[in-house]
Amino acid sequence: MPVAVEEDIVRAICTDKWDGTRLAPSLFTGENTSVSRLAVIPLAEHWDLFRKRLEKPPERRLELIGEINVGQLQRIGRAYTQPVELTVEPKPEDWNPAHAEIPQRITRGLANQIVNALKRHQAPAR
Amino acid sequence: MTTILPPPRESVYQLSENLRDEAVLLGVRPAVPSEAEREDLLFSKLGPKGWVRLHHFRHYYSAGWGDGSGKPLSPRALETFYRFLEFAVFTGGAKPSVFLTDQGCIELCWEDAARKSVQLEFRPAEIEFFIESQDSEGTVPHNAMRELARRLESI
Repeated sequence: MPVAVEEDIVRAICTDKWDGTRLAPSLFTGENTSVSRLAVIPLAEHWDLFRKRLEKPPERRLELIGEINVGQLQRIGRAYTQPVELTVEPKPEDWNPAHAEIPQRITRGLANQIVNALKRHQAPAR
Repeated sequence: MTTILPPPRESVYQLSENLRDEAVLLGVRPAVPSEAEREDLLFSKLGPKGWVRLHHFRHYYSAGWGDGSGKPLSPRALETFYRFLEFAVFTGGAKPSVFLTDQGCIELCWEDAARKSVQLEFRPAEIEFFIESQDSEGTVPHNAMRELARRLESI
């Protein structure tokens, strides 16, 4: 069953997709985009979770976490010039029970709009 | 003193017509830019930040980076990216940002003079583009790279 529209989801933003000035739209382009559900694991606990899993090689650093509401994500998809019915499907994994995916193919133009709508959380001190 | 070189010897073996490379026959071959020349190009077009980032992508991001599915930087995508930089003129003042996609492609993002987004993704067989001011997105083959650079310069 898809994740409810009231839920908020997050996506890790590492150095390969953020250079301190701009955010890469490829963060959301393509199919089966990985996200994580704040209803299952709170934001504060995502930092350690993402760092352990994603900071490979060590030069790749978790810089930000981008957050968006599922309902807002769907509205963006429907309002796009070529409307897409976006959904978020739960896909729990051993390392992250909150893991979910957006299965639909997201084009660069649509990804731009999603990236612009993200609420950006700064990494707490290590 | 004038030294006269002996006339070139005829090749013993001759390639059939359809196997001959025209450039070889003409004796003209474009010089492949050296690593140092490419570093200079990168530095001048993307600045120190872009130079350092690409260095990291080339040397530290091996297969399986990130969550285990990250692909290493594609040599063909990198080659096209360098060729594009030779022709590219970035309007708007700011240096473009360079990113690595999960598929091992290079993504280049900047804003035009009207502060609208221009984005390119260099893939092994094509270049994906997004031009916000023209509400245009799509792909072109590598051999259309010079034309794309010209088109982007004019916006």
